[in-house]
Amino acid sequence: MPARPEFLAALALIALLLAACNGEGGEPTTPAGEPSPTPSPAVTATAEATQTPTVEEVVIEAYLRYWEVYGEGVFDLDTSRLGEVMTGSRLERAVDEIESLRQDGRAVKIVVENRPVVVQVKGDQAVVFDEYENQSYLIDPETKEPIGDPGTGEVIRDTVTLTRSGQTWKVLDSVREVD
Amino acid sequence: MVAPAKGWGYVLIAALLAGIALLIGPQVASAGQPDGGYTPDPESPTINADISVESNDEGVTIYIAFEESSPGGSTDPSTGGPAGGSGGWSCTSHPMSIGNAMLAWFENEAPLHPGEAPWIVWCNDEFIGIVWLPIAIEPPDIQIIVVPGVSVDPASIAAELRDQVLVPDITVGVNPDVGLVAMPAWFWIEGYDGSPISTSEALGGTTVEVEITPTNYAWSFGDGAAMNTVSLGRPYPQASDIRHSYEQSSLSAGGAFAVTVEISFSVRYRVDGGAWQPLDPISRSFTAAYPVQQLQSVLTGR
Repeated sequence: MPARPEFLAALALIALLLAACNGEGGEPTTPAGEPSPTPSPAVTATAEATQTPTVEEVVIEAYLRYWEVYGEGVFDLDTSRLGEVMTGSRLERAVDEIESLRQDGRAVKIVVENRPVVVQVKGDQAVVFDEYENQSYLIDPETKEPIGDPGTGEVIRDTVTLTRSGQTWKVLDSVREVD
Repeated sequence: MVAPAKGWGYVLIAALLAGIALLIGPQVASAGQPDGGYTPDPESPTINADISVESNDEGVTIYIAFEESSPGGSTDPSTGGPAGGSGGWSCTSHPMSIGNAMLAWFENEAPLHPGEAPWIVWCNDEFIGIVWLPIAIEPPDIQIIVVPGVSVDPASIAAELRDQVLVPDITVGVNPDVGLVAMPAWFWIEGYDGSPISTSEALGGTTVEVEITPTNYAWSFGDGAAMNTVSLGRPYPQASDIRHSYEQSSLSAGGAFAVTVEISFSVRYRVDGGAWQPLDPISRSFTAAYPVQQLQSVLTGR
């Protein structure tokens, strides 16, 4: 027997309500040690397609974008796009860094495996902690060939502060933990 | 004449070797230079904060050691205190919220810390680090202690104190002064009443306190016999509960048996009056020489 139209409409309404409940502002932050049940893959795919990214996700995305632009900057010895992803003291340092590389006749291939985690978002400031493996290495700025041996895979721990300007998060500064 | 010629030969060889060294030297030096690896953002400000966590029956203690200025810009990292700190330090910890953005990180890290959950540590409103604490832990059960100097590990300081703690000058008491075969001798410890012994050391604004408490007295009477007690024995003329009857004289032992008592101490320490933490036990031995004679019956012709 075919389903009645009222029944189908009710089902659709319930689905819409469920989707709304799981939407913006509903980003569940689960207390540590109590991970929320993992939804089925099908549900996850639907939810991700319709959800507005959480602020944490936006921050992480901005942070990874920062690495991308920074990596291009030291690879091409080009400071022109750094301002898209960083500001303040971090921007000043990156500009100085590229200038220093240029003077030394070197460039850098950034090879890092980031594992960032947002530890705080307060207003227009966010703090990201990243414990990443670094295998970056020096290259010839012209040929892009490695200079010397590749990096050793050291683990670096950075605490990075991002600030929001309009809709854009930029890295303001970072502090490195040393042993 | 031969000798000078030989000397010039040595000089020539030395000069030759020096020349070779000059030619090779730079290449060797360059081989010892850092490789082509590169640290991103090499001029990044740094912080030298060492975080360690110790669990005990009363909860957990988070130790934070700063080597240089505080992340908040304070130049006096000398002091700190439990959950709030002092001397300009204010450290707190709270459970980490795991949203979708951090789920991948959590799923990667959690297996490395079974039974634990991530907490974030802040000092002076600056992020210091992530620590993993037992899942069941509650904030009142967490103590945060700031220790000056990253090289200072309270447990290490406590261990040093433990090894240097002054145990009283103990002697082994025995009655009678000269033992007799088959006659019980009474033993006891003199110069120590068995009470805990403590010592402490102040490091800047932090005090590490160590306490040792006897748990066992292992007696060895020198003739192969041994006894474990929890008492110190009782001095004569009281009847001691630590007794031993020798079956032979000490003649074969060089004139006296070496009576040894080894005292085992449990050890604990605490920082700034916080919760006690266990340390590995220690023991101290004390020995006395005890002559034992054989009585011989003499028949008289009465």
